[in-house]
Amino acid sequence: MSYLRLDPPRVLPGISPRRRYTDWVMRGLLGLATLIALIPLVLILYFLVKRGVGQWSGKFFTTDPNGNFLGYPGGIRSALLGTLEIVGLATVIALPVGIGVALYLVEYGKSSRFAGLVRYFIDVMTGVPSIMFGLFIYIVLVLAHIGGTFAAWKGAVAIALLMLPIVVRSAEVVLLLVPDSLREAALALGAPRWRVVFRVVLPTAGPGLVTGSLLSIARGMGETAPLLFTIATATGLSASLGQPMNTLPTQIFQDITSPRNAVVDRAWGAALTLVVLVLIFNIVARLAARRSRMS
Amino acid sequence: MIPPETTSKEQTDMSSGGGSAEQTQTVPGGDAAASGATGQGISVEDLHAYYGQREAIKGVSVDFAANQVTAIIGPSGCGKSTLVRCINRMHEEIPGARAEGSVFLDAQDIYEDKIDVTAVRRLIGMVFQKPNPFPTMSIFDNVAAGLRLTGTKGPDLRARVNDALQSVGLWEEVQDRLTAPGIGLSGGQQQRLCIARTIAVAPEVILMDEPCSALDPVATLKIEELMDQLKERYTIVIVTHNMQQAARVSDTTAFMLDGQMVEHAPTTEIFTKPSDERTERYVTGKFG
Amino acid sequence: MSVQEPRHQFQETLRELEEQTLGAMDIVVTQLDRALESLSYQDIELAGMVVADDDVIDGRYLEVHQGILSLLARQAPVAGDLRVVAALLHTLRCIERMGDQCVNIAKLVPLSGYEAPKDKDILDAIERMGQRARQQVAEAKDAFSTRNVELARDLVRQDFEINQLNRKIFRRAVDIGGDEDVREWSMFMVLVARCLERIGDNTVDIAEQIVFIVTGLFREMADASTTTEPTPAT
Repeated sequence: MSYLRLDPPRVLPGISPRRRYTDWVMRGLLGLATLIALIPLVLILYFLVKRGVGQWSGKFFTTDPNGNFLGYPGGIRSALLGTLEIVGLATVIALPVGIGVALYLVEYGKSSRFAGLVRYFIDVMTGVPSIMFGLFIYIVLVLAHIGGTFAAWKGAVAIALLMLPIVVRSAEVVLLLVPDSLREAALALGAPRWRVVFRVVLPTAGPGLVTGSLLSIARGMGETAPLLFTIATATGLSASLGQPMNTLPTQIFQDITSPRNAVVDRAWGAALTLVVLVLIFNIVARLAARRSRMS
Repeated sequence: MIPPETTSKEQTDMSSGGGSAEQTQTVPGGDAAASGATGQGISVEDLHAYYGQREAIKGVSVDFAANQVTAIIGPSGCGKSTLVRCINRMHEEIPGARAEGSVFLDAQDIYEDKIDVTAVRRLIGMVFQKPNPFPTMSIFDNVAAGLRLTGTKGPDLRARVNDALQSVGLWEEVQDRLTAPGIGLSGGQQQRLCIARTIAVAPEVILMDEPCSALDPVATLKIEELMDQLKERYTIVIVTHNMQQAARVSDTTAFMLDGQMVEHAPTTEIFTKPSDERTERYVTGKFG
Repeated sequence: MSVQEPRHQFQETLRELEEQTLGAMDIVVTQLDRALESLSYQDIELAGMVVADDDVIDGRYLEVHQGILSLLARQAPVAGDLRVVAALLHTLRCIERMGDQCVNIAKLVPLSGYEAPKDKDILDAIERMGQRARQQVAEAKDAFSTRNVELARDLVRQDFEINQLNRKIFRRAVDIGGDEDVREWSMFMVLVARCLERIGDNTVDIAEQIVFIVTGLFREMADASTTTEPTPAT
């Protein structure tokens, strides 16, 4: 009965035309920005694949880049193996040290002034250009002729230094994510602190630590500059860590300026290989993270 | 009153001082839990606790009788959680926190200089508000964790785990899935798992900091019944903000206000005829 | 609106229950007055009203009883509040019994005959007892609502006089039992005296409850079973 209604019924207003227009404009701008960011990325991948995938073959991966001057220039075997070996050594150095520092910062140092200082310096290190690590090792180890001049292990040390802050940062984040209630529970049972760390905190943080490590390894694999000063360049297959060793980044660096087209092509093949390697590590890291989140 | 096994184990722990607490101890043949040993009492004397400059416990003295359930009640911020954390020396794990005074476990002051803190915590266990089973461990491993983390080895690890699970009434529910993850249990079961983990180490005293706050009513009642059974073997101190719970489960109740102990009396007395005006006003809900 | 204290609703409800209980004591006083009046003037109609109005007391009893059950179930009173609730339950019973005693007196009115009362001693004693009883009930109510322990203890002392009067009436009835005319009437008066004495005992019970509320201790106070002067303040 309409005469009983005193106020007109309240109706929810629709979206004003002006708001609709603003919305549309903003969407457009953001979309454009995304495109601009994506285009170079797509182009890089495109070129890599286009020019590199043709190089891939059995021979490519099983021969060393010291082929004939006139014929087939050789594959990238020594470079690939060298990368894996050096990054492997770097990992062995960087991970324990890095996780150890993170453990100190989270479990023992906490709010002490020293811990704050350490954290500050680690943060600084993440911003240091990679070439600086190379220079540092060059001066300290190479020029000083410690164990020879150029050597693979020195390159590994440089890479390790580069990986260190990443490992520390990501490990710290993961360790902080371990709930304090678990530490409390273990302490309340009468466990000494180191046991709490090794038997409770580390296993709980495990998956996250693995992810962080994998990401730092992926980063380490792609660094060229530190290697230039520390392991020089080599072509032959070498397993000895005390000698110069070939790596993918240095191989690419060498090859790309060569006048021979075949060599330049090899560089593209090597670049694609490197990118694929890094990609593999990244994917594995993400899969590991997802698996640990789901369990 | 203290069975010989417990005494020798305790004295070994207590006197090992600031040195190694890490030597593995074999589980004594007739271990305390199995031989029907009874819990010891706690005696707090003039305890002061600080968070940095702030004094949270201002000279508290109270006795917790052996083999009884004592409830500590009081409004938020009165210091009851701090008090129990001083009893098992967890308070000092907080950066900037310290405690002064004496806490006697039977005859020994656990705040003496040379005392090994981890040994204290093996004798005075704690159950927390939110159930916290170790997420990477199975049910069995969780209960055994206390034993493994304290370096106790021994052939009857399995026996002790089973005994602990039976004591908390979980055995029937989990006996066929001991290897399943501990966090797969319901909230009430998880809390009972944590209690099993605590008693597997054969403590004398069990401290409970609002153990049922995060649980549903049925699970709460199960744990309250469990407390009644457990007090035969252990001394239990429970902090609770639920007065009905304190009235149901405890033999004696202590009321704290502003870092001080106001009244400590048999529970019936506190809830029918408290001596102190402040206690009367708190339990009747005039403030809180 | 000022900030209300916690458990405001609960305190309100408890207060109301107490008021209703004490209100019932007022009804008892009225009933007693009317019963004694009907006795003095042989007013059968008034006596009938007393009997009928006992339903009010019974109704009040049930009402407060239900309220207390509800309060216990929902609010879980403790300490002082719990003592008050326990005392109210006990007091309600006493009030109900006092109401019944008034009814008993009223029922004796048509039975005691239409003839003039025969013995002045007994009559005076009954009248005195009635006044005492009435005063005790009124004071019991007062002591309860003000939580006056001293007044409560004094009720024991006052009750002593009622007990004495009761015994006096009994002896007098025995003495004049030889006289056939007076005998039946005096028997009825003995019964009335008994009712009044019971009312007195109930006020002593209520006094015990008052002491319990305040002190938390329950002590039996001297009642009609003792023949000596009770010592003050047990």
